[in-house]
Amino acid sequence: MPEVRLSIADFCIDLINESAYPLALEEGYSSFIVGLNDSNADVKVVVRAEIPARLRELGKTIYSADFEGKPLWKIEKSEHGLRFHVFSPEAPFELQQVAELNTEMTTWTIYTEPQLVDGENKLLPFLYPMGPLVMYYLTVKFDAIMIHGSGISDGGKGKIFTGVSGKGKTTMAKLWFEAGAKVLNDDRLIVRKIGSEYISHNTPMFYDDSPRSAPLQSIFSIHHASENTLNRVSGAQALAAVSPNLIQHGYSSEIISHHLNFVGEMIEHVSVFELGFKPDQDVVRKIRASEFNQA
Amino acid sequence: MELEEIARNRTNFATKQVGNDLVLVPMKDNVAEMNTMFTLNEVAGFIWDNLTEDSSKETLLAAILSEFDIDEVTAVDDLNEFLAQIENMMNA
Repeated sequence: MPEVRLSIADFCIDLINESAYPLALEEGYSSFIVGLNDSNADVKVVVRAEIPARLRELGKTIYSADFEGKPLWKIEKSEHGLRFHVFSPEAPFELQQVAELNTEMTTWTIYTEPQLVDGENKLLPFLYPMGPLVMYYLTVKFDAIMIHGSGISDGGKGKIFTGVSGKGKTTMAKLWFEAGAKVLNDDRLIVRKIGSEYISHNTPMFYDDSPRSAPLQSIFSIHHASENTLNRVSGAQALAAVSPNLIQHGYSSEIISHHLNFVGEMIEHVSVFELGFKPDQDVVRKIRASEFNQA
Repeated sequence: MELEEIARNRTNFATKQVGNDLVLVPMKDNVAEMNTMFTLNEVAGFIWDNLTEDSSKETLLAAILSEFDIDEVTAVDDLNEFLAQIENMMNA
């Protein structure tokens, strides 16, 4: 029986505790916990205490995610799928967790050391960066992507402002918030295709936040500029505007094809723009006026 | 760059057809470089799709002429343009 059920981007994630320790989740997951019921989960996460010695040695690495020259996680192929060595962001090179994902991507097994939380030893299965890894592989299994972007809903019209760090995602979210729009998140989003619609969702961050979503209408590839410029792009240009900002582990041709196919289809339904902007309300007015003129 | 070498290097690119264009994503150390995409037009995409290690300029020209309603001079220009673009791409 699962101990905890999460709903993230409408993905159902069951946490099954196979240890004697209680589970704990980081603060950001609190609002994503939902009640248990009989419906099937999209993915099961089995949590076990302590990392077995046999799993501490990593074989041939097929992908390594590094931050400032230090590994955050490494992936190897195992006999039943993928094996992840996840390192502590605070204590570089210290193995924080080992996780295995089966070939069907239906079940994770996370081995994690107990940690002292509120005076009690507990297991934190989604300790960063493990939680985002589980979310990412849900997007790989299903019709979805994870993207660096700030997401807003302006009168029900979902927009994503996408770009890597420093391009202005947080600034743009702030401008739209000040203009009365609802902000989904200013950093990372999941976009899912449900029927013929594309829905953008926020995901748990390091702070407590409620689940939010919006039907996606347009995506803006943003950069700071001395004046506001808005150019609609389509076809290969739109694909090239959006794809670099996907969160992706591009080590497998299947994963790359999945991402390219998703974006290739999405840009036929969602408008894509190149947006250079100055950090003031003029850019909000410009985008709203452009929508008004198109209507 | 020899056609045979280009054909061998095809596996170092992921591809996505978008309308008439073919988008190529280079793979470096087995990882996709999504921020370095290349776009081939319809004729160039056709050449890419039909390129094998046994291809010669003559066989590719014949294939272009049978697929597209263009004259031989234009086909030669398109093929040369493709080869220049591919060489730039593979040396990038």
